Amino acid sequence: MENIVEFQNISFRYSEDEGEEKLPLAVDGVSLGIKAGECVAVLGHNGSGKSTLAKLSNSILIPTEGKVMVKGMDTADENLSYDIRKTVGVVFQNPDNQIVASIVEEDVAFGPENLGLPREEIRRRVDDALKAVDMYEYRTHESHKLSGGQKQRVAIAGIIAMRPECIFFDEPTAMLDPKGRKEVMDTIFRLNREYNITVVYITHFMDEAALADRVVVMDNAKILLDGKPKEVFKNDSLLKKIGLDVPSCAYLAKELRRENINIPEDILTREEFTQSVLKLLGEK
Amino acid sequence: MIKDITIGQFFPGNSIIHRLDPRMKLVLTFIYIIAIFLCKNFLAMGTMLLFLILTVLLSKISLKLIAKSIKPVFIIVLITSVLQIVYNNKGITLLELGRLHITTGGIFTAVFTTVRIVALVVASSLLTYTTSPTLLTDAIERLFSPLKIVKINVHSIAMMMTIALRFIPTLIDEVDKIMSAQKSRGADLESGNIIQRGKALVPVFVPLFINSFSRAYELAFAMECRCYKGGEGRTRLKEMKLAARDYIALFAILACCGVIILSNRLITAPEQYSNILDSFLRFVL
Amino acid sequence: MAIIQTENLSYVYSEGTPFRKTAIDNINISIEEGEFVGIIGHTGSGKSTLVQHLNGLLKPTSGRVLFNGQDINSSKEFTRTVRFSVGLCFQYPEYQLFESTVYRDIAFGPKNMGLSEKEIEEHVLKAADFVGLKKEMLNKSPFDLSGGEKRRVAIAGVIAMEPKVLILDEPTAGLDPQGRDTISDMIDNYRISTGSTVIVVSHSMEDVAKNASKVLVMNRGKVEFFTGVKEVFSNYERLVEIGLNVPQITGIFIDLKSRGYDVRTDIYTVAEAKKELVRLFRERGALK
Repeated sequence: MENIVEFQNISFRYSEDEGEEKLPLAVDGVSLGIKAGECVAVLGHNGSGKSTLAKLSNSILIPTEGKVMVKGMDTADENLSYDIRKTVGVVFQNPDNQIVASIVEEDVAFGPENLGLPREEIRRRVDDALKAVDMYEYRTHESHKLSGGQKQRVAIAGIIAMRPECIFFDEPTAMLDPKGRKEVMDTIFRLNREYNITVVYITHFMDEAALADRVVVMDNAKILLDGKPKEVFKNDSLLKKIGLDVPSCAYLAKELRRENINIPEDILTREEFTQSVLKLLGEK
Repeated sequence: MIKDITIGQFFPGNSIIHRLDPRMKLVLTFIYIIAIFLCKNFLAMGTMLLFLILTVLLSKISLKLIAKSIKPVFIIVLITSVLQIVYNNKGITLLELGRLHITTGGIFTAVFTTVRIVALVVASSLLTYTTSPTLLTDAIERLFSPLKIVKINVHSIAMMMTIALRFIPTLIDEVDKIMSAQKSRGADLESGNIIQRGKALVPVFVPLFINSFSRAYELAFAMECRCYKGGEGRTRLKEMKLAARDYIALFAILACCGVIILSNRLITAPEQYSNILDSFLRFVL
Repeated sequence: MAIIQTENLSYVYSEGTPFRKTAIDNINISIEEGEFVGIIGHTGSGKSTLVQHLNGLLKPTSGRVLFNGQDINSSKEFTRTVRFSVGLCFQYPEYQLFESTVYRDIAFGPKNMGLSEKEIEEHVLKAADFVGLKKEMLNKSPFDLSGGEKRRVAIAGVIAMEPKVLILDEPTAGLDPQGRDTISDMIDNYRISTGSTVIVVSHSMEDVAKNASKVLVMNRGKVEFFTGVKEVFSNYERLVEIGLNVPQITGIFIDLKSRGYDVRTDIYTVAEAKKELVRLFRERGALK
């Protein structure tokens, strides 16, 4: 399948203030292709360079070395930045800092307004986007009175209203409570499955990463692992070493195998675990 | 406390006042505020008050909220009224307490000042209560768009106002939080003289500024992601079109202005009222 | 005697306005010296409002808060003393750093206590040591540090007051797994080595189950449970009902139980889970 976003051996360094020592590379020789329709999780500890990747994806930042191609468009070409951002949207961590207007529907309209669309088209896109994130009934509410999860969904709607083909989510659940986290993750998966939007989400929650089609692990500005969740989480000691973890089910499975209870190696979720215990106990 | 401030807030609704064209609302509020300062007699003032009361009722904004909007200026109103009563010695003396002369002129001026300040606050609160901040700044942008000719970037100013209004509640929450946190470390924000209090606020404002800068950065990124590149070529979700109700509202306020101008000419001003009252009281006594 | 106790504590926000809202409703709890209490509940359950009463930031609408048996709002002076004895560290405390150096920021609390320069230094160094900040970091600007380091500086700022009761609101929010572990261990270490009482506020059982001796579950402004960790887990149905997460491991046993297996549901560590599953497999003859 075609790559919708392609990072071609890129490096990036934040420019330092005058007289200060040179900052280390935030991204160091990364090559990564995101295929259309994929649902990818990017894992890494704080400061591993994963957030920079999101900003590099739609020409908010331009790589110091290498190229980022979005559907064949080079993000370094300023003339294309408009088209690139229509194709790849980014949702950030703190919903408070990405909502521009005080009223929900006016905020969602901000992107389409910038695109210079006719009024009826803006209206249609705002309504569709709010329905997609299940916030339509809140369209005339004030955004600052919403819960964290609701605000983040409004922020997502603001991006969806631009009708992008791919969305990068930069730790979209880091500041939310469990309820908000679930709302936002459900929304992300729905966008991928029902709306066929390519989704890349950056997280440091192992259980969220386990639900993706593909997991990319970053450490020290480089890509360390890249594969299906089940393959990636087999490397429990490596993940632990770089400050990450594996879902606790996977630990338990490993411990049980030592006792000759043959729970499969690639178990990541509670449901899978229970199913395999039942199977071993002779149930169907 | 800090969260009680309601000015600048918007209470969504569907009343006729909510539905007025925001440009018209801005113009009407402007005319109203000027007119209220031109009132020189009870008939004019009464007309303007009636107009305001009618507007409040039509807006279906709860009276409690209206009362809340006056709360912050209550002290100012009180002080100016007392000063007027104490220092204005025109008209007849009603009460004499040593050096203190309470006169009819003083009372009239105090009443007029009070009514003017309250009406001003209520009218402008009503504007923000019934108009979404985005529409309001949009209206400002459109009304002032002729200034483009003199190279003033009206769009940028309007966008800054939109963002400022959007972030006021967020920043109020943040101030509240930082104050609680520093109080938990023993910061004393409530006692001492002005200089000490100012100094005590450093631990509150430094983090607030630093956080605001990082918020601004993130917001700029987020706006770029949504293809923002200034006012050029932008379209709008909400149309602004003058409807019959807007012309009716304009007509109503102009009629009120007519009443003011006429009555100012024909009816005696309150200073003279006090003269009349003066002679009346003299007659009785 | 309990170090902290509340008597019929209630708090109502915006009393007398249309936005009136009861945040906490008739709370009666008592916390002993040296205990590690986890407070869980979701957003709006009243847990943050409750802890802001424990150091006198909020004044009860009705009821009392006692510190060592004395009403903390009995006098202004006593409230101020309690501020230092009950250290409260807010969520995302790194956003409250303000001084030019790490040292001065940590010293803010001790300075407000009116300690001498020498005592302040002792307090700061001790606190920095607790949170694992190296000496050379003390002269840096807090704004040049990484997110995790800032968090530790902010926590040190509260620890430096050497509070008898340390309260932390979501101390690990937004951190990666390693950062979460470091902070949790640090807090537990502080409790063990100083004998202080520790209260940690969180959204989920997972965060507090490991270290807490007791758990206070809040729901809609009321106390749902206030008991040992195991007892709370044995009432897992109620936890799920009020929308709280149970740890993944506990979930497995809940699922097994619902399928008719006789297993304990008060299990939340890998070691215990292993023991219980081995027992189950032995019993069923599925283990050779």
